[in-house]
This record gives sequence, structure tokens and C-alpha cells, in this order.
Amino acid sequence: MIREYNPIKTMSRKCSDNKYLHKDFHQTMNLLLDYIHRNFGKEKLIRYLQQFTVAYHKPLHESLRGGDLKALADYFSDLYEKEEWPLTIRQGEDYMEIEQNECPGMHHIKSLGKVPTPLYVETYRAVYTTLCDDTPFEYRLVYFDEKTGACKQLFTKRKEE
Amino acid sequence: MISCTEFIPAYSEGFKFLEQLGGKEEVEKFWSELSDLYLKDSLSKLIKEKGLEGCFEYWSHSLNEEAADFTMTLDTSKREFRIDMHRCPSKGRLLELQYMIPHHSYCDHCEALYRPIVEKAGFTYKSEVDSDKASCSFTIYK
Repeated sequence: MIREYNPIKTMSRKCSDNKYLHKDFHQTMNLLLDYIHRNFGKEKLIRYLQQFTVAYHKPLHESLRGGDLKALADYFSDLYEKEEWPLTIRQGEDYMEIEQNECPGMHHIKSLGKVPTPLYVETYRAVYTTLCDDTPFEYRLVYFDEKTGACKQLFTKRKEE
Repeated sequence: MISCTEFIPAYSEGFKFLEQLGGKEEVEKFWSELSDLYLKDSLSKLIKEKGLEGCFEYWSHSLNEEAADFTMTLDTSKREFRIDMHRCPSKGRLLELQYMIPHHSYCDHCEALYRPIVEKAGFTYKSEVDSDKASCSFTIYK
């Protein structure tokens, strides 16, 4: 039997054929953060994260300005569900506490044999502090393990002065 | 945390930020470094080891994970690999976020990342981009 050799190989996909989850983007993000830090310093890195937060989190910021803490809880639940990563959220009327045993981004970067940039923590602290600016809430990073990204974060209603 | 599902808007804002600091030249400098560092262990390695078959393998992984709308063709008789990106997942996402303005040359990063790797491996890279429609095509050939 003679088998004919087919020199053409194809693959076609629609967006709906796959789940959007490209974890290697964590490493690209890490390289971008590291590039800014190495070339321009910590202050500029934080400035970048602030600029990103103001631009990207505009709808969530609007919700927080209106006092909607549930919007923040929904945001985190949805985000970690998409990341397929466990997260504990405790919420009361005036606070929301988030706890994780490891950061999914740092975990993936390390799984590739790479090292998270020394200021990776600012993707938490700078981002969520900025998110709370000019809202009734304030943010506190209660603890953060630099090796694993295990952390506890607290959003609380500001005390009226 | 900036989730991998939020990376594209963070990337686009990163290009804008670098441009504010040092002009387009700074953005291109970053792309060049990223091409070296990010693709060293993946596309660069695959294309050197397996040629165009390595390209097929690399993009099979990334485009599926990125949930792209694409057709990819490897024609070994013509020694040609081609991707028709009907809907780019990255630019598509940026266009969907109507409250954000994408970096004006966002789509340029693909060519800046891939062309040096492809040319170093002895192939030619040719692309056509329609950034307003989030579509493009590119061919890698001998």
C-alpha cells in the first residue's frame, strides 16, 4: 500500500473553543515590572502601577466610590475563579478580608524556573491602595510572604474624622 | 495582584508609560529585551530545533491558551508557516474595554518580538496587520 504524504498541516479555532487562561502572561508581566524597576527605579514602578490601576479599574473604582464593597468581593471571586486559584474572602458590613496561601502569579513564575521581581508585592499594595483613593475605603496589606506571595489583605471603611 | 487575565491592559498601559518616560525608542528597547528573555526558552529554542514545525508547536500552545480565533497552516512542501488571525485575543480585549485607550502602536509588539527570533533562525518574517479590526496575518518562510 502506498500512503500519500500530505505536506499541509492546519489548525483552526474559534475564540469559544478554548478558555482564556494563558498563565505565561505572569512571566511577561514580571519582566515588564522588572524592566521598569531596573531602568527607572521603585518610584516609577509604583507610578506605573498607579497609572494602570486608574485606567483599568475605573468601573470598579466608581463602584467603590459609591460605597459598594460587594462589587469588590465579586471582582476578587471572579478573578480567582478564572485563575483557578483558591482564595478566602471574609466580608462584613464595613470590611472585607482576603487571604491566600500562595500568589498564583509568583507560583507560575517560579514554576518556569524564573524569579519574581523584588517589588512584586507592589502589584498588591500599590494597585489596591490606588484603587481605594478617593473612596470611603482604605486598604492594608496585613502580611505578605515575599517567597510565596501568601498574604492577608484588608479593605475597611475609613473612620470619619 | 495583576491576574494573567488582566495582563493585556497592563501591557498596553506599560507601553504608554515607557513611552512617557523615554519615547517610542524606550518601548522598542523593552520589546527587544522581552524578545530575548521571554522567547529564549520557547519559540527561539523550538524554531532552532524543529524549524517551521517548531513554530506550529509554539503557537499551538499559546494561541489555544489565549483563546484566539485563528487558522494556522504549515506547508512543508512550500517551507512556509502561516497564521491568519481572524480575531486577535489581545487587541480584541483592548477594543472591548471601551473606557481604555490602547497604546497607539500596540500591535507592533508582535513583530518586534518575533521577527528577530525568526531571522536569527534563518527564516523570513512577513506580516500584515489591521489593528482596528484586531486581525492580522503573518508568514514565516525560507
